[in-house]
Amino acid sequence: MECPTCDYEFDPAAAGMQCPRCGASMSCSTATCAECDACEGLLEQLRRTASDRLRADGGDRE
Amino acid sequence: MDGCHDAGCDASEIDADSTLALVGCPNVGKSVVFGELAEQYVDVSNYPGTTVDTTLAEFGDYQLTDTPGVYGISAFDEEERVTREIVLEADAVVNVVDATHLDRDLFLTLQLLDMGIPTVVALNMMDEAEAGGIDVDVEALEEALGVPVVPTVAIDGEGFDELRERVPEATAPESTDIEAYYEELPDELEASRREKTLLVEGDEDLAREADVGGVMADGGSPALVDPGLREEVYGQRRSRVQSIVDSVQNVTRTDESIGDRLSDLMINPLTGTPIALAVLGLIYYFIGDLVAQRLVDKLEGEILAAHYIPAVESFVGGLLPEAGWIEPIEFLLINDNLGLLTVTVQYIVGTLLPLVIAFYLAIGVLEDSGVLPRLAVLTDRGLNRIGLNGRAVVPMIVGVGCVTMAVITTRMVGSKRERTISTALLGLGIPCSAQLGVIMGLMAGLGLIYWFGYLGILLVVLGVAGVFLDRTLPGESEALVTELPRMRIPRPGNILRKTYNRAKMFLREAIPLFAVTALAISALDYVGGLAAIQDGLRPLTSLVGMPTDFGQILVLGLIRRDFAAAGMTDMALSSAQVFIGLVVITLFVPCILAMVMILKERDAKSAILMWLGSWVVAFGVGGLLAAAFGVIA
Repeated sequence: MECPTCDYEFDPAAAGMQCPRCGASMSCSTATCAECDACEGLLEQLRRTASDRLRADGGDRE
Repeated sequence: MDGCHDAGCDASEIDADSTLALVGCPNVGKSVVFGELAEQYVDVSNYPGTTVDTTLAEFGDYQLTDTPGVYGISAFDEEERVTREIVLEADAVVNVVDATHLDRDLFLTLQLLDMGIPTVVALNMMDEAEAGGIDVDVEALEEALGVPVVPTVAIDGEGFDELRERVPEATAPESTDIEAYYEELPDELEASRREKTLLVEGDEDLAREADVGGVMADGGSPALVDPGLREEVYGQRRSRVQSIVDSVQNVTRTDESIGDRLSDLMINPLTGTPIALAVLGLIYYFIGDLVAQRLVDKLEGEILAAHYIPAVESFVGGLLPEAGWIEPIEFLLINDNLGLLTVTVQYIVGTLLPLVIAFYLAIGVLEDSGVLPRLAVLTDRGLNRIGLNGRAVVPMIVGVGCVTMAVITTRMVGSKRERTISTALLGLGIPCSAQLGVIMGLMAGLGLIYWFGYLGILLVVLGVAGVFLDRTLPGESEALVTELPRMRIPRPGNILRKTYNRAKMFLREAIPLFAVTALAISALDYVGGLAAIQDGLRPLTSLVGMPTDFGQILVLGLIRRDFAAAGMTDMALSSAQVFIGLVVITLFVPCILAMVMILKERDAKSAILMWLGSWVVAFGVGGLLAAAFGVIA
């Protein structure tokens, strides 16, 4: 996927949800599943999306 | 430390032994640092992408180069290529790092050190880090990096004495962890440490030129290393960044400031839209009422028209001899329409200057307070509908200052497609500050409803043109990528300095052009050419319900947009005609300088299409308005 901060193209499945160049953290709210193939299956997609949403609702401004 | 002139200088003008590059991520304050080190003014803004070209200046024994902001030394896009070329050749680097984004910026720093480039780090925005509860241990950072680190607050000029002193101490560690990866390169490769670092990161441009055992790859397969090695190198460097950040930075949670709350309100469409409209209303009151109505009336009417023009007419009349051949010269100098020494001076000093200064003051406040980038976020969704993203609001707003400058800043909006759309919209319907100032002055006499009507028509035209271009041009738009600087109370010193320099640059460009135009128009007027052109334009002026004299306004508008607006101030027109005339001259062709810039930045075909399209749109919309108002002669 392409990092929304620095445009660097990386593979979230290998590098994780942080851009290896600028360090920007990705989440399910900053990238769609079509752009990102970090999750191995539908269940992980649901789990990650839900935890991202809960974290955002918890007031974490990051 | 000699600056050459306001906009930097040519390499040939600089007598320097070494080269020093100013490198950093976008929007970290490189241009302010450049201005401080070179002791010359550089027009800077607190949104990313202001520097789209390199700028040179002399700094001690160095040739100092300001570079476009990049997140890493690589060749993924044009700006990165430009910066990479400069860095590969530089003797030393001043790496400007944003203290509030250490985790992001130290990647570039470690990359420079991996390349073995002598570096000094300017740890900028220390005031903002402090305000955000970020405490950076500068000594620990210096020790961790192994190079000088100088804390600075560029905008206030803090830390520059130390930075100037420590530039000669620029250094790089003898070796770094990257060297382990050099083994992946072919044994026969002859390359410097800088090149080896980029090669293990998969730099394709360098790989093409690589000298492997005396055999240049020259267009062959660019892969000198395993394609996955870059990810590994980057990942390893990011771990080092994280480890340094963890050891030197301490973040304490601070309460949300008023600026943060205001920022949230501004980027929320529900609250941000009324705030943006209120800001526009305030600007209108300041420029359209206070300056255009009161100050300009006083300057132009009570001082220049009452005292200056009679005095000049009397002086020139007395100076020139009574002879037939002198009549045309006297006409050029003091005729009532556009005399070089009378009406031209009255326009420049009495109308343009106060309005342009007022406009630059208003834009300066919006920039310095951090409102402009928030407008980019707010307008992103709307701009998406016309094939642009929120970044395009910056050229559009810069275009309200000067379309010529804005055409250059379209480089920051993304792909060629978006650049074409934003350039076309700039040329079509964005009035420049000088023109807008005069327009606001004329609109003030009509009332606020006409002002909003004018803005509404421009928005509709821009919207329709944008949708048309979005649907006809090939390709797809890019998403918005921008950073929001902290909102703050604007600094009067900054705003005044920007306003002074921008007004100075404007006058430097406008006065000679205005003078030449005035002479040309007066000469045409004298020989009857103006009347002929006006007659030729009669079908068009009739179409939009304007008198034949409006043809002269159009001729002025071909040269500069503000000349046309200023020319309308002396015409006897009804309210509807003033309104229609202002819409037509706004949508009419870009000024000569803007056209030159469009030719330079785009291509001849696009420029001609934009120029012709402006005629069609201006008179199409003007004709519709005239029909609606029922003023067709």
